[in-house]
Amino acid sequence: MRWLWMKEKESYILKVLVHPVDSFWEMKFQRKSKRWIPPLLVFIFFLVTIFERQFRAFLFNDSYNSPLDLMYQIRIVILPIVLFCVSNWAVTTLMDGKGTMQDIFMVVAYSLVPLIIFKVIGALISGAMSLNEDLYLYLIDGCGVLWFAIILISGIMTIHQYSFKKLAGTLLLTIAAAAIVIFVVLLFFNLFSEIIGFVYSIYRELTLRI
Amino acid sequence: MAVMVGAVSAAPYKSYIYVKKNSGITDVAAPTAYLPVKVYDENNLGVKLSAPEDICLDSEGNFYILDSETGYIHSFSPEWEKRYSLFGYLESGNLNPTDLKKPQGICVWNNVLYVAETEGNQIVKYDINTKEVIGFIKQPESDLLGDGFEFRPKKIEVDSTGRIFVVAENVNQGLMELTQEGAFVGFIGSNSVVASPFEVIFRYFLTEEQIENRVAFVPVEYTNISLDPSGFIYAVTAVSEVNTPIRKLNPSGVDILVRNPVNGMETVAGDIVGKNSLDFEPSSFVDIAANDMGIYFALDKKRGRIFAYDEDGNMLFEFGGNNTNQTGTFILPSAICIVENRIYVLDRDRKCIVAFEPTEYGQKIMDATRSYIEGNYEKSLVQWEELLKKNCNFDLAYVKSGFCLYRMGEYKKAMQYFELANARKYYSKAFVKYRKEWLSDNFTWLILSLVAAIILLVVVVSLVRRWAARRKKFVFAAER
Repeated sequence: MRWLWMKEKESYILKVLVHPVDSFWEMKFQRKSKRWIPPLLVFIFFLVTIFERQFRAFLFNDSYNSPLDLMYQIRIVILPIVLFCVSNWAVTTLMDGKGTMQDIFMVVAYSLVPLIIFKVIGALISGAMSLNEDLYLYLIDGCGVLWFAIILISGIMTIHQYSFKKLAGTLLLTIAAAAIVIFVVLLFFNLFSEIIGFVYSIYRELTLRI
Repeated sequence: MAVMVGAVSAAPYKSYIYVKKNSGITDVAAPTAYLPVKVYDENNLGVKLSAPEDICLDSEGNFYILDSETGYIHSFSPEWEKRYSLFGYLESGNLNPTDLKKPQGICVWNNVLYVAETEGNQIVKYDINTKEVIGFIKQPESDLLGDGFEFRPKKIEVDSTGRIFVVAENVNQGLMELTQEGAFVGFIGSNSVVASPFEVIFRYFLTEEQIENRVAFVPVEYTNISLDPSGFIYAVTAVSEVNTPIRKLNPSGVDILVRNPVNGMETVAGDIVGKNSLDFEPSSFVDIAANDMGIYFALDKKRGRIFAYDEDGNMLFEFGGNNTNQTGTFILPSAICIVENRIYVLDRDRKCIVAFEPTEYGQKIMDATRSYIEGNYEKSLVQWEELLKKNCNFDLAYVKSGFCLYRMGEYKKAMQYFELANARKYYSKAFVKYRKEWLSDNFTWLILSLVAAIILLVVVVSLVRRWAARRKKFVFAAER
């Protein structure tokens, strides 16, 4: 899995695909990760989702011909990643997880690699497919998601040193925590906008009276 | 043309068409397809109409208008000159004729005029040449009809073989089929009852008494029927709970109406936007008329609108309105009939017959549909493309243009049209053809480039390996 232009630490981008547990172990405990790789992977994934949205064939693309909204794209791609990292960290620090926030982000970023690969393949071959052959395309999409899930789960297990049972529990709690985070954020925004509105109305009242 | 534009702006109603958008099906404004050209009432007909209820044509194109209040049937020539009036019948021993009691439906078959006399519980037959009553069809006898059955015929149609179809009041098993002699054959096209899941669960918790007090689940009655030129029965229901208010019945009574419009709605029900909101009132159809192209016009009592659909269930256009005093709107529309390109609509409250004629836009839709059915795809394509210049929101025009191009073998262009209409199913079909064509055109190059790619790959890999091996040796040497 180590290609010529890759030095040892970069080669984990591909090694992770076949040996996720070993790779994450080495990256975490033998410090074989590079700090700039996870953000780069997330950025590449972001670009790939845009690429898929823009270049997946008309037949298999619901957002075909509709204008690209970058903020929306960030909302559905970057935000879930951040949310997962934060809420998973919040849960696992309380439950004896060995992973730091950086480790969690690393796992998430590296597990995006199969998604990146399969999304690009799917977008490229979708142009040669009719609706009758949609099964193959969904197969490719499904493979990407499955592989992503396997790497993510084994990675999270490795960095936190969890059993599968504990992992399942923490993942459920992560979802709950994410829901709470969303709720709190919305509540905060709502209250904040009301405070702003209140201050603004006082300001208006004052300027009108004085 | 200038006159036309003036006429369009004079339309007392706004037309719309359904369009598929990313957010769902919405309605957008469309050009007016039909305009009122003439109103026939007592001023120019020469007879007093008190409640025109039904209209029909004989084989020579003469009109028959049924006045349900007076029981008169007025006959007019194709140019709307008065011919004669029929009324009542002589009962034995009586010198004065008995009036028809609230007749509601008429039809002509084989020079015989059938009148469905609702209150008189019978069907009266007139000979339209001798103007004599030639027979009655009284209450039919059958075990199917039950004991307390009262024959109250409302609408009537006779097909080419002489089978009589009757819509009768208080009959919810479908249409009554009678023979020429008046014998009851059976019910056809009966409505099925569909209870909503919510209702089923709700009923589970109710007591017997509560269930009895709720609105009974009975199949709805048909409001009206009409025969199309090929002998199929179009039937409409006015009740709102029905998902399929418009039906096309084959001779054995099965609903064969195609509900497969290009925008994927799968409904043919008049007004549908806002269907899921609580205060939405669905269209309530009172009559329907179909032409030889399979285009049918359904008359909606609720909003006085006429909806035109093609044989696949695509809405072609909509026109008409209600409750204004302008010509072309109705208060109580009761019947519709098509004569060539003219549409006549009866208004019972206004006591008039309004004639509509297609605008340039409406005529083009008809022409384009006709040339497509006739297989004249080049001509049809030009017509549909012209329609797109007048109404760029007309999904059907894109799809039909695509169909024409597909039939002409121009798959690439067809794909573009299907893409514009967001018609993936058809796009996929054209794409398969196009891909096949492309593959067979470029097969040699494809294979050659594939072989070239493989050779290139092998060469590159071996070069890289050699280079790597040399580098390794070099590194080893350096380490030593």
